[in-house]
Amino acid sequence: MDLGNLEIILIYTISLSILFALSIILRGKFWHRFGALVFPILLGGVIIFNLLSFPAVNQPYFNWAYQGRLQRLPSNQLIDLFKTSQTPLRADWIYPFIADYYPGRTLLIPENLLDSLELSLDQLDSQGQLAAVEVIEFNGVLEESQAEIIQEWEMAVVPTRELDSDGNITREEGDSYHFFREEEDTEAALLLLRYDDQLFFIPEDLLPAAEEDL
Amino acid sequence: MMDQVLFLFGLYLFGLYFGLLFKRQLPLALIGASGFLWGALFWVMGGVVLSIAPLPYSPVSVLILFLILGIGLGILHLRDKTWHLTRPELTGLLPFAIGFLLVLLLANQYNFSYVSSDSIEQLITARRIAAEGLSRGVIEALSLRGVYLSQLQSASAFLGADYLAAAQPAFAFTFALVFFTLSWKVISHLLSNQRLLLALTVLTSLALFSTYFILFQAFYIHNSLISAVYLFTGVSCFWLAVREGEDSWMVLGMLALLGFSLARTEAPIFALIFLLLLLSTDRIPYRTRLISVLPALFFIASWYVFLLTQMGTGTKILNPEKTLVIIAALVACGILVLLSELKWVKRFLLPYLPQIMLGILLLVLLVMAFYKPEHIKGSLYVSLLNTLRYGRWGLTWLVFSQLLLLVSILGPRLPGERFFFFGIPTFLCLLLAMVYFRNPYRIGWYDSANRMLTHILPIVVLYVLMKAAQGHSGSALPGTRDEKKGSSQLHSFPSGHPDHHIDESGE
Repeated sequence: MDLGNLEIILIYTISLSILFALSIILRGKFWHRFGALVFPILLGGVIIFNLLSFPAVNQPYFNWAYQGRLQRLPSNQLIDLFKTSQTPLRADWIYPFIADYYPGRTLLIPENLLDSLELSLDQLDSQGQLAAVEVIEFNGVLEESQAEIIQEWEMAVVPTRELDSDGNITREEGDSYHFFREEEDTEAALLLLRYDDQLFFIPEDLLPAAEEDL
Repeated sequence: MMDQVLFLFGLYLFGLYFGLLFKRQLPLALIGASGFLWGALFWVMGGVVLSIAPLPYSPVSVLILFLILGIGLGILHLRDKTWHLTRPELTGLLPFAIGFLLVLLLANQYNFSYVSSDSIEQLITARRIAAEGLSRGVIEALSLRGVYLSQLQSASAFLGADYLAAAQPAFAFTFALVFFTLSWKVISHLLSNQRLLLALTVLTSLALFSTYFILFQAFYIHNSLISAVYLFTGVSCFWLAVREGEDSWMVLGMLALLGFSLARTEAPIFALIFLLLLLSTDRIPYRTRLISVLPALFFIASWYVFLLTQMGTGTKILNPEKTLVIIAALVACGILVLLSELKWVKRFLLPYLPQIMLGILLLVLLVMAFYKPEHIKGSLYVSLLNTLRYGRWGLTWLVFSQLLLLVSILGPRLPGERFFFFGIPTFLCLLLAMVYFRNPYRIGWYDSANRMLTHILPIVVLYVLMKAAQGHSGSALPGTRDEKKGSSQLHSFPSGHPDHHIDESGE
């Protein structure tokens, strides 16, 4: 039974009126029975309803930006928290991932990516906890065949959404950020590469190995 | 993985160490239940103090701060001879400690955390606090969403964890225990039938904590549940301080109100409602008022002065003008506390404070509704729909809002009722008035007003519970002459409005 807003308010008003009427008619007796009988029964009803309705309520919410429901996360990592929550992300929420995956590293940003980049160089440096951010003369835009090779590598992918003129998140898909996960600690600088709306953080020492393919 | 469990358990033990100072005056169960509240609050306050000082916010500096605090508390324990735990005390506290540790382990192993955009901002701010201290960017973020959650979560950076997954469940578990123990304590003043007392307290606790939105917030990384547990603790402790005349309740109450005030930027204004209601009772000795209230007000005001000096143009939630209003309100309250022993203040101002507060707020709301009728009307309608349908409250608000109206208008009178009779509507009016300065409230669980209803719901539930208990026992309050006459004297209760004419002692 799906009730409308007005029906709910009507039911609310009627039940409230009944309670008021009973308390006025029964006077003193009402309050004695209220504490020992009416209130515990009402509480029992609330508890049973809340427990029975739990599975129905614990579903993705109708608002696309606030899906909010309880479900177990695969791990305690930030990326699983963000992904499982299904909360649309802004580009400037990417910095913690850079700090997690590449702390103290140097990031090389090709000059021709600067205009389209939604990340701030200062915040990359501070929030990304990088050792340095350097702009280099290099073509950072990948060809389709090159991107296909890189996409085969094991990466953590964080998608973001476009913002409107007021800075609010929209439904439009924005850039997605691909973080190459290294198995061994390395000090190699990172190179930022772009293909379409995908940005790749690739360790520089990985590129010579894949140079022939790229 | 285990680091955060040990860290959070360490905070619990530190809070317990603090709480044991009051073991002779307060129930041991409450001390065992509330340990995490005080430990986490000390961590947050320590971080704030270090940042304002300004000293580096690092594991070493926080450790030194906790050592100093620990030594100070140790001296107090030695002075009051509270350092020694007897076997019954130990066996009384152990279940709480083991239960808390178990919850931490389970929450760490079975992680059900959820984040919305607000939560993500707070987690990012937490990392920035650990990396940058209170830089300009961090101050801007804190002036949007309050310092408490970010400051606590910043510890994750020191522990090498991405975030404190077990912190929110720890607060929820603490909340459930504190709600039960404080409700029990409060109701035991109104009801002598032990079986009914147990049944009502258990059922009320279950009704509150089976509510989907409360369960959801046990894993939703946000400040609403944290605010709720501190506000509930504060108000309950104030009621008990008035009822029992025990200063220890005031200390815990003020600390709880401090925790509430640090959780959200606009929270100090809400906290002042209940502080002024406390002052209006004129039941707390002047010396106790000065010792407990003024340091807390000073701490909160110092934090806002610090924000004011660092925030620049501020944010949409907190700009310099709004910050000045909060500081002015805190200072005015401090002055009122100082002057509260003057005869004319005691006679002509304090008794009427609740009515003055509520009256002014209603007037302000009317003016606001005149200037922005659609804004206010729309927000009121949306909030109503959220409580009844879209806010994920199940039947809880639907039932308790009706009972609230019923018991507050026609129910039996209570001692110290002003905390609830005036506190709840003033809180709700202020919540509605706030919308004048921001975007209208929205349909959905994520709406700010809907989340802030979490703060007041436990107080509403307690109020209805108190009325039910009082209604059953009639005018017979434990420890009074009427008690012996039993509940047959029910008719002696005049129905109607509680006000300042009620004898606060209930006798």
